[in-house]
Amino acid sequence: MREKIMGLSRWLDRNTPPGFPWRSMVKGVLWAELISFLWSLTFFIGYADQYSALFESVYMGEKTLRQGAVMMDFDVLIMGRMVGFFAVAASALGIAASHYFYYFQGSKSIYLMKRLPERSQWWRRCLALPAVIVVFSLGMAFLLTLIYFFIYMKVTPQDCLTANQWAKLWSIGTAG
Amino acid sequence: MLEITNVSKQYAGHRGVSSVNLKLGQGEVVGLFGENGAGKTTLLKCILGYLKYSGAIALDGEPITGRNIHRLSFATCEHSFFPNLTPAEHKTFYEMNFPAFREKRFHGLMEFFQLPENRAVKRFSVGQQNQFEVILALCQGADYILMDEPFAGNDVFNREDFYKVLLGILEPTETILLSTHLLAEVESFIGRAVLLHQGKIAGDVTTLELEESGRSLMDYVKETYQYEGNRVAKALSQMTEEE
Repeated sequence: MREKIMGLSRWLDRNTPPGFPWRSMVKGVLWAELISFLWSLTFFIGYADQYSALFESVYMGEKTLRQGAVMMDFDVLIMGRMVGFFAVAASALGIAASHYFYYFQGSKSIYLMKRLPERSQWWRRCLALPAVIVVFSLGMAFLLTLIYFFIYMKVTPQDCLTANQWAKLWSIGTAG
Repeated sequence: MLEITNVSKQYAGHRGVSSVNLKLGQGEVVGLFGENGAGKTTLLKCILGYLKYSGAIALDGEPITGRNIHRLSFATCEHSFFPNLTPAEHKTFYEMNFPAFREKRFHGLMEFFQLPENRAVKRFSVGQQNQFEVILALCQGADYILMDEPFAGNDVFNREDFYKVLLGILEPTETILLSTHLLAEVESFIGRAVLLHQGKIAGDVTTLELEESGRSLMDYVKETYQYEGNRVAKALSQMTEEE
């Protein structure tokens, strides 16, 4: 584990502008990811409400499925729950900009970056971390959506599901 | 050989350099002089590819690209180091990117100027930062070392020390192109003087030629710029007459 952290630290040293305080930035991004994850869990609050509405109490706390009860569609329930991840992904643009302007702060280290034999290093050091943040955030949003969808499909009584849930899920992806 | 052929650069609204032709051979120490706005910095930035220009600049017949850019280094009064890094971290960065980095020279110069190796460069005084900027340019392992007013902010003792050290450490393959206003100071250090005036080459002379003609660099500059020696006296008399 320690070695993995060291490896990650070396990667960040090589892929952010030299001397850039990436530790505080990475810490901030990780917090934002955690908050985004916690916010995504609010999906289950909405889901639990909808789920309990499918049933009616009959006797001594026993519940039975309401006649003709229909579960709210997954695409409606998930709406807005992944917004945190999208916000973090969008903030990567700002991080890329801060990397670029770092080369003009306190000196013109941009002159040195432009003189390196490996000229792509300048852009690589500007864009690598933001790219990882975008991929990680969107990946998390995608993965959690799939997990929540799986839970939704497994837990919701089949009789209460409307048709074409997969197609509706796909429509979330294509609609952005 | 660094060959600059018919290089021109115009900025929106003002002149940069115009039809500059210049050849710098290996081992030359060349002073680049000119009034403020003469185009000295512009010319250096064109050579380094920081500015787009018309004309051609070639290094041993090849255009300057990622393949040969490591043969050029640059020390500027604007500084090009990373303020948050220490000199030791700069050394690691340079070694990673410039295989010909001169480690021995680096340590020698750091010791000579008594610069701390483990303090962030942003905590250095301006004079120390200038010294460090020049040290990096000298240690990169480049064949052509371009300097743009590198000692702005350093005291005269500091600068003299540097000239002496430079003359002592330069190898015959290393070429220096030094842009500065400090004519008298660098006269004994350079071998050739190139004068820029309003973006054009106004003069190009070796110090040997100057010696043979019995003129100083300052005489040559005044001559080339057609400096009126009585300009100040004239202005003063005009002003006093008005009163």
